[in-house]
Amino acid sequence: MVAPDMARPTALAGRVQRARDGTTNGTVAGATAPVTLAAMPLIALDGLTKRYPGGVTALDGLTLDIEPGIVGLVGANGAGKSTLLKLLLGLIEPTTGTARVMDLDVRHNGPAVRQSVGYMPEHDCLPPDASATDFVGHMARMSGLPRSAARERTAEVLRHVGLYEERYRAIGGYSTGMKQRVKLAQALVHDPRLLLLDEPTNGLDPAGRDEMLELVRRTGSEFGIAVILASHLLGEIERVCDFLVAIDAGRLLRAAPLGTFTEHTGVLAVEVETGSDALAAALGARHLEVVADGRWVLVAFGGEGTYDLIRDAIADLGLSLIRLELRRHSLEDLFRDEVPAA
Amino acid sequence: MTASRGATTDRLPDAQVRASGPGGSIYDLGYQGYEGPRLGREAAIRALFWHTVRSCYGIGRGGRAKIAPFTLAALAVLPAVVGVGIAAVAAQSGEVGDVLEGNSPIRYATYHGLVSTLVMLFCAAQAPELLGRDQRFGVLPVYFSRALARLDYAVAKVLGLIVSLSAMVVIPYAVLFIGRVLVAPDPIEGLSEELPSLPPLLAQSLLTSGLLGTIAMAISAFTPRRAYATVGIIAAFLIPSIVVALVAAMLSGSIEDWIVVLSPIDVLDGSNAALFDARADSEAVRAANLDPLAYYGAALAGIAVAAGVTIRRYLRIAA
Amino acid sequence: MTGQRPSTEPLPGWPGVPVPSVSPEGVLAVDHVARWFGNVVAVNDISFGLGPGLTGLLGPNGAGKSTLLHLLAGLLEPSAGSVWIDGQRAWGNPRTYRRLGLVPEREAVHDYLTGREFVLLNARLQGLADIDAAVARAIAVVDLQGAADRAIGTYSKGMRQRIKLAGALVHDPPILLLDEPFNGMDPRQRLHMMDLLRTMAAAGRTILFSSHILEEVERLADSVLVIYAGRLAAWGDFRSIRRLMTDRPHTFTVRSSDDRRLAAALLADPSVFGAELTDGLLSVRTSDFGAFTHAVPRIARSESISLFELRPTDDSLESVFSYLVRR
Repeated sequence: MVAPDMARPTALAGRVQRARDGTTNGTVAGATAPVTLAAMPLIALDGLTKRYPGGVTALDGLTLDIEPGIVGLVGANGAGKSTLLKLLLGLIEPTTGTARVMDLDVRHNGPAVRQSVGYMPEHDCLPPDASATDFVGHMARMSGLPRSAARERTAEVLRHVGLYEERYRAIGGYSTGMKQRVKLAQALVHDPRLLLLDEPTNGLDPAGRDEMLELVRRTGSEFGIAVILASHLLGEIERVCDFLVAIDAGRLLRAAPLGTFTEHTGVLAVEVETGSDALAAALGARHLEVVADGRWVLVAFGGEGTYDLIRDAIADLGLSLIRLELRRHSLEDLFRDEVPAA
Repeated sequence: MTASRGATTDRLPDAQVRASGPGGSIYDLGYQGYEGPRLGREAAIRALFWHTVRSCYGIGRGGRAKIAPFTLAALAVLPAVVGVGIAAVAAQSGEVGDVLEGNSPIRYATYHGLVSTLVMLFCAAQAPELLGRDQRFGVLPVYFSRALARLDYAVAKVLGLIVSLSAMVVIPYAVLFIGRVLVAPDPIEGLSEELPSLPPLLAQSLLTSGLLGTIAMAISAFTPRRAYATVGIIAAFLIPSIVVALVAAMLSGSIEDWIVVLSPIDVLDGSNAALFDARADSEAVRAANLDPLAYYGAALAGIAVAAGVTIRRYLRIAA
Repeated sequence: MTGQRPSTEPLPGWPGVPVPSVSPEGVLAVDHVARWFGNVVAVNDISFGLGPGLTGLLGPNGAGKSTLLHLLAGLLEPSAGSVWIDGQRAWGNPRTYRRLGLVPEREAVHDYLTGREFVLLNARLQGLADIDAAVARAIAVVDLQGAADRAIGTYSKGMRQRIKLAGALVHDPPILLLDEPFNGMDPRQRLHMMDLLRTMAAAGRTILFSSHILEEVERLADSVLVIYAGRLAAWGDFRSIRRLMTDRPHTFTVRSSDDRRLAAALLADPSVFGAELTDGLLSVRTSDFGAFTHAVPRIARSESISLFELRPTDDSLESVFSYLVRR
């Protein structure tokens, strides 16, 4: 499994270290990287299976370890991602298999696990006639915080998520963006070590999405809280996460650092204002492998000299160069391959 | 620190300091972790319990939420206050003994009949709110993803309603009790006369609030819609009593007599009659003439079953 | 892509409304349409034309997108102005409902119907001739044959979207109006839906879809309509819109074999007014997009500097959108 990102601030490493016991366990299943003799992983799943009555298999023998960081969780063809989050919280029981969070078995130590985990559900979950302060404060008490601590933490957390005077008004009058912030605040108010976010940008317009993703990123890096972000939107995950877990029809599809999905493809993409066909022809004449794709001219990278050939061809033709970059793979490639639907 | 004029940090609490020098300091307003105590399930249950009690009386939810509960509670206490007032006035004019036992419209035994209807209305009004809102707005996953267990949630809510109902039942009795003591010619003697009434008062209060409260919660647990729950609760109280009355009118015999225990209203009527050695309001109870233990037993069994149903519902409800 | 950008030539009889210059099948014209609810002005004096192809409808929450879609579908009466569909008024005209299919975001579907029954219902309402074939075709298009005989209550969110789309497609309308069609779909379903929409648009359908996921709209739509506070803020191909924003200078990032020398050479060019070297990256600011993009390769060549990467930093739909709505 992959070691924690070294660039992560010590805040997170320190907090997680306190959460772990000292045993070393090198057992890793389904990993493609060398085993590291670290302490227990943040989350350890072993043969986790969930079958719903009616025949739907949401998770099928899921085995993997997850280290702290900002982890993206993507599911295709089934209810896998939401089911996994609920299993980690002990909201539902697995059919078979185990899930350990911070080395506590979720089935037998549910309350202890939930003490340190925050959950932001996907669906609406806010009573319309309570204010944000009342609701988040009440939930802080439900997490066992004493009254004065609950009040203080509520005020602080509402500030961190960006709710100011509106926090005293009834939630029913809030915009979608404000409601999502309240949901995030109740997940953070008891200072969890792990935050589970289920589609946090659901229903937000582009500006709201930006702000929420920024908040998620800050939570993961500045606040030092491990984050699992479940989302359908691959663009978000590419933007915010450093590790990806992809589940397809209940089975583990891939689990790897995000970098491995967004590597260079060995193709240079060139965008010119006009004349892409002429450019493609000119480059082909210079023995480069070229494909014209709409506005783009795609050139197979053939060594350092390729750059200058392109530059000179454009200059010779008097074309305007808008963009030149090495194409990267995207997460979408993972889902483009035809896998039979469940 | 003391070298600077104006603001100093001498007496400020120690917050995180980002930077500090002889001329001043900058404090870190960034996210801080929480290292304080985490009190666990018991504290959460207690907090939810008190939250429920406050919700029952609409405290913290604006003026409109207080109208129904406080009106009902006031109506429950009013006859006691009036009765005591009449007794006090009558005592002034010297007809103490008769007033207390004969002409006073208010005696312990008859009070139950007045109060139980109000308690039923209170249940029908508030129980759906206590359980329905969280179901309707999807708040249950937020609760259950915390240290609070499903069982804790159900128990705290049910106890919260029962205690709220108890207040509504006990306070009028208390008013009567104190009133009778004060109005008696010799308060000390009056006290020792009234004291034996205390256990039956408490018992009847608990049975009433327990039975009606748990039944109301059991019904509310199954539907997020307030209207359905309210109607269901009222039906659960009224229909059995109507059926029992009909059966009693048409049939008689020892088996049919036992049907009385299936109606919460009649069971409480029976226990009230037994505890205060008085005449039951309901024909069916009078006709059945059962041993008092039957009523106590039926009430306790009803409480256990209704509470069990509620708890089981919350152990299995999807969240 | 075939002429979806609304041209500025008004068609006779429709004064001042830019309408695409293609065949009149599946053409929407919106003429100074407004809609208010009491004091709330949801849509305020909007005019545009729409033809075959994929157009994205963008705007912040509350900007009036859903209201606009319902106006276009002939389900709401305009408080002012009118909506024309192939030359006929949309409002109150039963023929409108034959020409278009609307998939609204919020409206619930009866959970107890099976998918097939729901599509069948729509087919009957449309008064189609060969109902069974149309239903089967619509269900096949959205790839729900396996689940068509299950109750919709058992569907996931993505499947509901698809069955609603099947219901809107069953009468084979030339115009489709989709409100957040990708909502709730997982990555694979999104890709399928995008392919489906592209295919339908290429076949000549007029498709207007709203979405908040701008990276997807950028790849899918030929042009966009941006709504802000009930008004039309911009229409067209987003790159063209960006070029029109002459008051906002363009920023490019460059990686080359000699950033510093390149920076100096670029600053000598009149199109460049700023260059910055930070973290091994050269940022160049220009107020003349055309002149700069023309000059860069020539300047690099004459200085014998290799260009490894050149990127405009705000040439995306996200940037354009944020400029338009965050004035």
